[in-house]
Amino acid sequence: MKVFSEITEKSWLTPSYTSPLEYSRIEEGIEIPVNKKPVLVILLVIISVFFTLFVVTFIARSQYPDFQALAGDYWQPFYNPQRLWLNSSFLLASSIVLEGAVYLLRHNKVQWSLLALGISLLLALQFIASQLLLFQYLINLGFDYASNPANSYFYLLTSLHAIHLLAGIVVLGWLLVYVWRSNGRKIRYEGISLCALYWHYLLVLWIFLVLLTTSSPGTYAFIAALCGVTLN
Amino acid sequence: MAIVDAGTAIADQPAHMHEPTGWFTQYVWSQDHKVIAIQYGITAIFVGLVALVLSGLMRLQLGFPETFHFIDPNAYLQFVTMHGMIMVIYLLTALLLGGFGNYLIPLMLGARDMVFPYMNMLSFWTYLLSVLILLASFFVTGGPTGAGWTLYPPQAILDGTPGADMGIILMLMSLAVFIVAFTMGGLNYITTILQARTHGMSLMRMPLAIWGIFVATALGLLAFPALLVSAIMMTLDKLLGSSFFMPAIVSLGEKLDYAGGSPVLFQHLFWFFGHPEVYIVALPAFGMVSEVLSVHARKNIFGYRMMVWAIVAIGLLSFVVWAHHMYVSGMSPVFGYFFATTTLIIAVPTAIKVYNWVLTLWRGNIHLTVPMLFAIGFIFTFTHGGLTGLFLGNVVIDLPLSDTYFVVGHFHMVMGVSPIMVLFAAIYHWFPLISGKKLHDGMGKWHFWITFLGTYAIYLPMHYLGFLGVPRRYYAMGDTGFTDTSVQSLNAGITVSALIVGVAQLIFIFNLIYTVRNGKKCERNPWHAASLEWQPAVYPPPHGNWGDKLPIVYRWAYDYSVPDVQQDYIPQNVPQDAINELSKPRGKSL
Repeated sequence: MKVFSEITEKSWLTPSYTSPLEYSRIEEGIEIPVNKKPVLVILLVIISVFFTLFVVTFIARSQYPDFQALAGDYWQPFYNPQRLWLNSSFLLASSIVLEGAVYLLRHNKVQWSLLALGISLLLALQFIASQLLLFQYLINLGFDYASNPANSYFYLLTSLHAIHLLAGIVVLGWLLVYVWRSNGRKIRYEGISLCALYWHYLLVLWIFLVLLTTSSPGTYAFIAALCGVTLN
Repeated sequence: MAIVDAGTAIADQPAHMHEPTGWFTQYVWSQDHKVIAIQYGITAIFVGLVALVLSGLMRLQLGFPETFHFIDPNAYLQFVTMHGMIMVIYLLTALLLGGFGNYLIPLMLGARDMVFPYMNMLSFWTYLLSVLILLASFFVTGGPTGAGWTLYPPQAILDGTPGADMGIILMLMSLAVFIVAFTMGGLNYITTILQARTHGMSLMRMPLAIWGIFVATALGLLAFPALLVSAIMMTLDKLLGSSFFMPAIVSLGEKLDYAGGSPVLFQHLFWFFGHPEVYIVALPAFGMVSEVLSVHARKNIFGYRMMVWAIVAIGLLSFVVWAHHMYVSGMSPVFGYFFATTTLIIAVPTAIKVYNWVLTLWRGNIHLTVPMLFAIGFIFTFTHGGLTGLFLGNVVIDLPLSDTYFVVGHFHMVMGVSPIMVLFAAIYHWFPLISGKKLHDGMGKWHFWITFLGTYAIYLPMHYLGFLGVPRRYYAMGDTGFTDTSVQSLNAGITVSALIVGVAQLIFIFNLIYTVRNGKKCERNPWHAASLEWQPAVYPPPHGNWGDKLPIVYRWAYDYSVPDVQQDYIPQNVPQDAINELSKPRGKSL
């Protein structure tokens, strides 16, 4: 393993031009190239930790007696989560179209790619708008933010997801305008493909959140028992 | 393919890129890591002085109760809270990582700058915003929050706690903004360390300071989300009336709308952040003190690989000890047993580090310069605070000592005084690199001795008070059945020492200003250090650090007192051939 051999190097014994483990980039005066993708991956790990911590508190909180799961009994709104899945399809479509835009960009079809980028952005905005409509629908049904912890968590988690998506929309929108205004001469391929990775991540995260918030109380109890939480 | 402008990062670009174009871009909206580091440093030291004044006010009240009428119980609690939060987050974390992390990482690794200079600049300005939000809470109705730096609900957001209206909200907002700033900075540090190291700088040739900053940053990136999560949920409990942490509660005779929440959940989240935070502060300090000890003892650091592995091991273990802060929360004894065990295990790599520092000094050519004095002082204070940590890590000993002055004495020794000692050592050590001038030696020595002896005068008696059962966070002791009147005399003594130490810090501030204005240019690399940050051709290092060509690294950072070499040290960027020429005639080849 490279990492293992790197951190077991006896650096005090190897005064030489390069250490025996140094594998490339030896020529004098050459600047060190930097790859941006790992930064995004680290950021995604941090976002995952962030959401995981919410989920851990969610599971623990779900075992308190006042917690009424949104998909529990048949009068609860997500007993039939059709509407939520319909909204999800906008995000799925946005992700697919964005991947298409990256593909077109790689094959130098800049105009088509910009079109696809625009569509992808609109779909993402449509997703957020549909979520807001869903919020309104839930509130009209009487499922206020503060009336039950299950509601609080639903509004909180989906809003946080939306904030992350909005941040992505700002960045992607900026890139779109940038490429457009340069008449396709500067195409920012790396930035746009990293945006696509971010989009796919948010899609997976979203599906996880939907599954979590629409599970039954039995599922929560089971997960909580697995984690050793038995409060009832 | 037309993938021309594939977002080349700074290190790909020629050295003249990102050059500041005017006074504003050079000193205010600067993207240079060195300027950003100084901006971080000045802000952190400023806000730290505010916290120092707050601690002085607290001590005045404790030492001489019923003397200062402007300090009422509310104000006292607010001082306690703001002092703790500012010191831990806005001073120590910001100065160690934002300040020294920014300054040292590119220079020690032979990089031209951070990988994302713009994000680095953004990180500082976001940090400044968080500090301003925090300080704004002093000026709102009700003042800053007085919930204690742990901000435990339910009391943190209920009437009756000082600052429960706006103070707590501003505090939580400020923390959230700080975490955003830290994440931007931290991503930069990690990426720069992983990707922008110069030719020949393998991981195990990095100085220990970089290892400490690296692991601490990784801890921060993974632990700060826990604080952010708890801050968000508590803000929502306060503003929108949800019940994440709030149980059904009667406050001031009135039944509130909250029901069913779990305050202990907050404690778990908080300490899941809070314990790694101890090491976010400690690990960079460990690393930097290793540099100072090695340079000023003219000896390579003892057990370099063990030191690196110990840093990594401490980093990993720091995520599984958090509940030792919560033994009194009513947890299961099995749970307590687990956390007591992990707490004792984390003492092993920590002890390895202490032994190795002492062994680095052993038979070294010790120069008692001001940075070295502070570094040796750190070994004392850290060992002291670490040993009392072993007491408190055990459940049965912690239960009676919890919430007494023993705890206050312990954590001030281990994570207050010790990192501060290293910070002073680091400032005295690296100041010639930053400014080209050496801080005044005589003032430095006065500063050291008053601070070092003074901290013992402050915190040793606190352990004794703790054994007597004197509780922490009390506005005034009043008459109790279990304490002697001498407790009050001891408290007065502590206050006098604290005020002396507090005022002595003015020597340091004066020294900084005096040296910048009147100090003479010192020689290049005045401590004869081997690590890369002292080797740039132009001095202090200019924008881009290295001129036309990046340096090439041929060895580790600790070649001191090498036999048969004329100078007693070999810089990291000196090739083997050059040394053989430098060697004395009788010298054997290395």
